[in-house]
Amino acid sequence: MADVLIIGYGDTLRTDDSIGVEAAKVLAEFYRNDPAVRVITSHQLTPEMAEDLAASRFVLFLDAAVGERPGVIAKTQLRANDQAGSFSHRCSPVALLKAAAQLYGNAPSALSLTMSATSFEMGMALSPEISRRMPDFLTAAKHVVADFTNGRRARPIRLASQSGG
Amino acid sequence: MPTLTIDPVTRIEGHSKITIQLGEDGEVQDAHFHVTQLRGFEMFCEGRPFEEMPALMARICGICPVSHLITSAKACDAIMAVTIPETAEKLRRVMNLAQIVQSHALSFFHLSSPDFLLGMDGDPAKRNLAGLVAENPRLARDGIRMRQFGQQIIEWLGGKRVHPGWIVPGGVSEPLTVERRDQILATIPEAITISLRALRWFKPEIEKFREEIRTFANFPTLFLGLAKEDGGLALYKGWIRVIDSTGETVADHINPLLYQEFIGEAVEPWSYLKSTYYKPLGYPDGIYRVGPLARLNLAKRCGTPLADAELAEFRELERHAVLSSFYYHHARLIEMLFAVERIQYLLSDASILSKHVRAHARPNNPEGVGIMEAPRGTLIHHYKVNEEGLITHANLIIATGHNNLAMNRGVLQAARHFVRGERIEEGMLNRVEAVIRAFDPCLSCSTHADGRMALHLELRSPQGSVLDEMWSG
Repeated sequence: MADVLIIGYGDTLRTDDSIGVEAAKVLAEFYRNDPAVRVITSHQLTPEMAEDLAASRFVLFLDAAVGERPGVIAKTQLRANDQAGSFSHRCSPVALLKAAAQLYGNAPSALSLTMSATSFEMGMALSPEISRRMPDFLTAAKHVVADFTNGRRARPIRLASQSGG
Repeated sequence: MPTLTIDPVTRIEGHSKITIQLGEDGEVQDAHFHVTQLRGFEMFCEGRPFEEMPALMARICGICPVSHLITSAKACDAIMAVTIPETAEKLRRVMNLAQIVQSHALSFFHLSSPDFLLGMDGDPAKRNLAGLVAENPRLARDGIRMRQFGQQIIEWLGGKRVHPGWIVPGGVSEPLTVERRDQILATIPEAITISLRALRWFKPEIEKFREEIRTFANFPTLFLGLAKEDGGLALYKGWIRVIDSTGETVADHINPLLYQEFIGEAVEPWSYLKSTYYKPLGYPDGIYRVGPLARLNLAKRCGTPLADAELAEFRELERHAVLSSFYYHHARLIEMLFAVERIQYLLSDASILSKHVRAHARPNNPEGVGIMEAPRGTLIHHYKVNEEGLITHANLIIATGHNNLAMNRGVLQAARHFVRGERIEEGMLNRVEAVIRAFDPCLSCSTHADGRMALHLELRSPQGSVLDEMWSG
């Protein structure tokens, strides 16, 4: 089983809610020859993914976020003993980590990488602003994966465009 | 008249609420199951080419899209006036069976087993899937694996776990490869082991719920579903059969094309979900049930060895038809076992690898009816087309709609038994919700309108009194 699991999730019919899915698709192609990295795209996180998490050493969750300024990229360390969200109809990353630990004896180290959206209205394409920011989001994701596979602790990613807003 | 409201009903698919009307003496006078969502699929598909319907109709639901996909394709087969290749029929059956496994697994393990394991009066903060994970990790793992089993087969065959493709008018789009067949067969042994383990766990557990068995929609009704000549469990095709609560046949060999002569749809103002009824007995006397409980009451046997052994034991529960809706849970586990065995049987036949998997034709009939057993019960898709094959009319009768009368009556029965006006406890209300969970409704599928939307708007004061109201439709 792969060392690194990347899960990109979101509603691809809700404009920027597809940030995670679109990024994961690009990363799936980028890592297609790397047996250490596995990529999943999904409409939502589901309990069935707990086993996939437990079989990995590191998990990177990719998702859209709500924020005052669109395009802000945020990285959050996740731990299985954090306050868990829902684990039924809507499954949170931390709830999945908890389930991986409780059911399969292993909760991998995990990070959430999000980008704040412009719009969550009905739409099948990313907004123009988010489309322009996707390369930065993908760079951030690749840095996170590289940091892990190189055996270093993940450091905060600072991007020039973050300070300008 | 004081009213208790359970809003939302939890651990089901879709959105609904339950209202319980109490008399001045605190006794339950009436109860209703309100479905609060509206979809409109029958309307917006008008004008679309009929070939699009399977893909469109699959989007009705994220839990049972395969049922709509296949039933829609069957309606399209009828419009084309084709008999699909035998291998295509077997492959459609495999996907349908996989969906039954994952859907029944969701209902039993994820939605209902927290009640069984933690008790109807258990702490609501823990009486959920997370609580199940903490309390019985093995049971939770089994549920996850059975969901994966079904969903993985659907993905291998149709490309996606939710809203797959591959099922098309005339058959399926591609034949099955040897590699894929062997992949699926390799997952069978574990699935059978888990299915049997779930039954071994649940059957003794039922004994703790004697009061619920007596009062969860436990009353005489008709039972409706598909039947076939050899008396086996009919999930993909057959004719409509109706039996009564003594097991006697009321109607048999009903041609699905003539469903409207036997099935009526009634609209109530307090729900977007219509209530179907057996027309010869009128509304509401023509109440009937569909789904796992009905199917096991209708069938003489399942047709696979392990499931048949379980069915024989199930039949001993009552002299004639099994009436308590609590036993839907038990029936669901038997069907899950049957589905796994049946997938193995179908894939073990060499003809499953045939390259002949699709018939082609233009529209040759002005209308077509597709009928099949979805996880929750009998599903009907009825389309009419013009000369160019564009949809002019669509009517869907969804499993959950068939059960609406029984769900409402069941909610009232449970409320009258468990809810006492002078002391309302959470466990009482959870039991009323649990009646609905026993039916495993899919409310996202079942709400539709053929152009008329009955709407009742109430303006209530902070004290609850109605200040004004308006009706439309």
